[in-house]
Amino acid sequence: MNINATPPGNRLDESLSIEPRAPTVVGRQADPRGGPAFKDVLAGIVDQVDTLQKDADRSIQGLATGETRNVHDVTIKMEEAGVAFDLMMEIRNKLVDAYQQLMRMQQ
Amino acid sequence: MGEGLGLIPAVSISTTGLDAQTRRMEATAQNIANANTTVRPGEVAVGRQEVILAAKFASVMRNQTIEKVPAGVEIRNVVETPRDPKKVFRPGHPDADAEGFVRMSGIDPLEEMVEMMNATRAYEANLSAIRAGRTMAQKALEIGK
Repeated sequence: MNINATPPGNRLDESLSIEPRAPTVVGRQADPRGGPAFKDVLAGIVDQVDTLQKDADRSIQGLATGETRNVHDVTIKMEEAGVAFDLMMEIRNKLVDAYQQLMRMQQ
Repeated sequence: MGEGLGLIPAVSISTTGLDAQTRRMEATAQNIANANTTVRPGEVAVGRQEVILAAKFASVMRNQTIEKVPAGVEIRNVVETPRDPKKVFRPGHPDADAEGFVRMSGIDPLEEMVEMMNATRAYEANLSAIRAGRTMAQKALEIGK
């Protein structure tokens, strides 16, 4: 399949066209398709959620010390951190689910 | 705002709305506080503060073209419009003129009450928009359940 022939914006075709490429990187950690490893993606998400939580913590402190005046900024930051945490938990649940299904194959 | 994962849709837009209504509330509070302010002879009466709002857009590069995307509301400026001072007969007051009349700032408390209710309702409307956005984000997470 030719990459240039795929229409722009068609994501499914693009991802398929990458498949036949020969793996260029040799090593245990590297993804043969050149993309980032799932472990790194997950670590990135955890990192971002952590940043949001710390951000919310800092704004609560700012409210207590009189640095911030707007209560709504603090509550919105807390909400955002909460939703991000929910998303992370959802990804983690999927991962554990997949692992348990793999384990059940042995029975 | 605007940084982060952008999980809650339109939250940064509604935040500018909350900020704007807070500023409006401050202006109204200032007006109510000065409803009984007297004016010294020869000086200009304290004006009524009004917040002027304007739509805000941001330019974003998308598909090699610059697109205008909504970015909420911004405070264009805060104007102070003078009102005709009310004359009250109060001889002996330090700010009274030769005939015993004191000039009060012409701010109408009734008008300010309406403005205050307006700002409160607009604030609530922006909060509802944020709450709806959060519900959307949480519903999206429920797909996997």
